[in-house]
Amino acid sequence: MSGETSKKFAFNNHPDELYHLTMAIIAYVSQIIDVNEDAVFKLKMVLIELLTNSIKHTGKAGSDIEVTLTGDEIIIIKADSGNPFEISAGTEKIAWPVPKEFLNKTIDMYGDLTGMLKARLDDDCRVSFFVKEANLLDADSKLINNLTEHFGLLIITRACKRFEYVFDTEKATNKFIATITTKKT
Amino acid sequence: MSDDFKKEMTALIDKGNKYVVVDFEQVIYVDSSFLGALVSSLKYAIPNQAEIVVAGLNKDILNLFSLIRLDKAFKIFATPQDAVDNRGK
Repeated sequence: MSGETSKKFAFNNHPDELYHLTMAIIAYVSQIIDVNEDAVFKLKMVLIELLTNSIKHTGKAGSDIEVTLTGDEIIIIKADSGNPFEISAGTEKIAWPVPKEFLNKTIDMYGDLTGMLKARLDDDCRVSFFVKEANLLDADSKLINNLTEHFGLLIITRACKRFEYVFDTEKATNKFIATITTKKT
Repeated sequence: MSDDFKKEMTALIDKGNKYVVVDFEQVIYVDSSFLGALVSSLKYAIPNQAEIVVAGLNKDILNLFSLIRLDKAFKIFATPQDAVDNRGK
């Protein structure tokens, strides 16, 4: 594929529609570009979690899913007008736009002995997520008792080449931007 | 749904069951809420000397377990029968 192509899909936040829409988007992508099994898996996991996030946090308004295919990347943007993403430094909740003292800081979100999800405050309205992986050998009770029970952002971050959140202060809208590579990893 | 699953798992362990097989053979996909409930159930099982194992995961769910390292925390079997046959091994 040369150039860039994109399409918008609406999600009504109905749980029964989640998997149907996920598969419709995968079908759309597969019609336009060759996607390997690994990329399809990652795309599916990212969509399921973004749509689950929409159900949990955006209420009846639903969300828009924009899919852009460009070069060797699939870019998924979930946009909604729900409450802004909550991020805290210790016990202090950080407001949007992010105050200057927090800019370029990295915040520990959640994690366990397998790795820590971190959020870097790139500018006053943008956060990028990444995982600091741990060297894990075998399971034991210490690992299990330490396991996180929060997986949504962790799944998306581990599946993506880049994963960001952007808050539009003028429109009071949220965008989660997930970039998946179609290159074999 | 995840809360219901967690309650059901807790009830099974409270009844004294020591080996619980979660059968995924009819499951197409899972989300993070369910996975959180599954991990929570596993944490509840350990101090009650119970074990929770999973069986019949499709390829996507198996890859998902690997992606978030749950393959390190759960014993995974190809089928529920395999899980029963290999109890304690």
